[in-house]
Amino acid sequence: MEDEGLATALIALVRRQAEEVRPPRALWVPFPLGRPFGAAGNASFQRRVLLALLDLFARPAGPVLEDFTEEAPPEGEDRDVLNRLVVNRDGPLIEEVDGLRAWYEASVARRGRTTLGGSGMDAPGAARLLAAWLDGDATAEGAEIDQLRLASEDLKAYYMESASAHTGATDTGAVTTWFWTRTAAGRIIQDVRSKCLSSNDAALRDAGSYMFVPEDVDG
Amino acid sequence: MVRMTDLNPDMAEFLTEFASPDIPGSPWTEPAPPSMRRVSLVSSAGLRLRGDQAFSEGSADYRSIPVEGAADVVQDHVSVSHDRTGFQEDINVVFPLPRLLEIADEGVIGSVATTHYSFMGATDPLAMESAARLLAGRMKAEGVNTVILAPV
Repeated sequence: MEDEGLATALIALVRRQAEEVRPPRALWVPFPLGRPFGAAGNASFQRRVLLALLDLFARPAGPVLEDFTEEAPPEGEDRDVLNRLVVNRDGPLIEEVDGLRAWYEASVARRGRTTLGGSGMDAPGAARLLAAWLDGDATAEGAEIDQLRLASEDLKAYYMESASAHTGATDTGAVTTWFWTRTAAGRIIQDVRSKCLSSNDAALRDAGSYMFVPEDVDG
Repeated sequence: MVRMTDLNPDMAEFLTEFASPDIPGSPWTEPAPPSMRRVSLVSSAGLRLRGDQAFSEGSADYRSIPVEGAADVVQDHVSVSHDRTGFQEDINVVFPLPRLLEIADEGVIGSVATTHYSFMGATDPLAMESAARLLAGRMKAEGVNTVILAPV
């Protein structure tokens, strides 16, 4: 894009990659992957990141690689709410999904948006697809990897948005642990990963390695 | 907050040892003065309008996100190296269009483009070159002269 006559400035989450590629202007930020502008629900902090990025356009020559050294402030996290959500890792998935519906709807009402929907299915539909694929159901056996990964993400979104329906921004800690250790959905997605990893299909094995379950989750 | 050293060691090694593409030259475009900047956002989070065609893994094309529809985007890029709780709570964490509109209102930049864009994450950057060049032409036709690139 720079070569085409557009002035560009890049957020760099992996500093070493920016050092190697040497884009015209890059701002390395010390934030987790998935949060290139820092912290959710903190407009003033996001603004400082954005202004620091725009400030790179004042440099007379490049490549420019500068560091944004301010740590992102912590996001809110209410662990008590997790004890009020009715989930059962060993119970039926569809009942669990249905039981969270009021929480999910409260989340949509508060946020005015939802990130669920990439698969084109609602949460029960995504849950049914994953469960049927695990069971070897003929109608789901031919599901493409894209369908499986998007259904998995939609199911995660439904739970994560439900768990933070009233509490605002959540960090990657308690809610993520809750999902993977206490919910039937977490169990099902871990089972999907296991089935992928044991497949004869190399593409499915690749998908199982990096599309469903974080590396630090056992199971 | 998490730094690379706080990631799972395998993922940290993958990200730091990943062979970056060899891009020849050092392109440099002289920026427009702040008041003349017309800015567009480009994400690589695999963002798209709900209902728009989903990205497949390895897609090298892009999706358009007009300002008026940007509040209802979904994300197709999937990686176990990051969760989406930040994006679920606040789109600005990944795609700070509302913040950009605010600073345009304050006169920090000249204007915000009417359309913004996303590519798919984890696609070979060299495979995206032709689409990126076409997109650059489209942006210039809309008067854009400044681009913010945001990975996820």
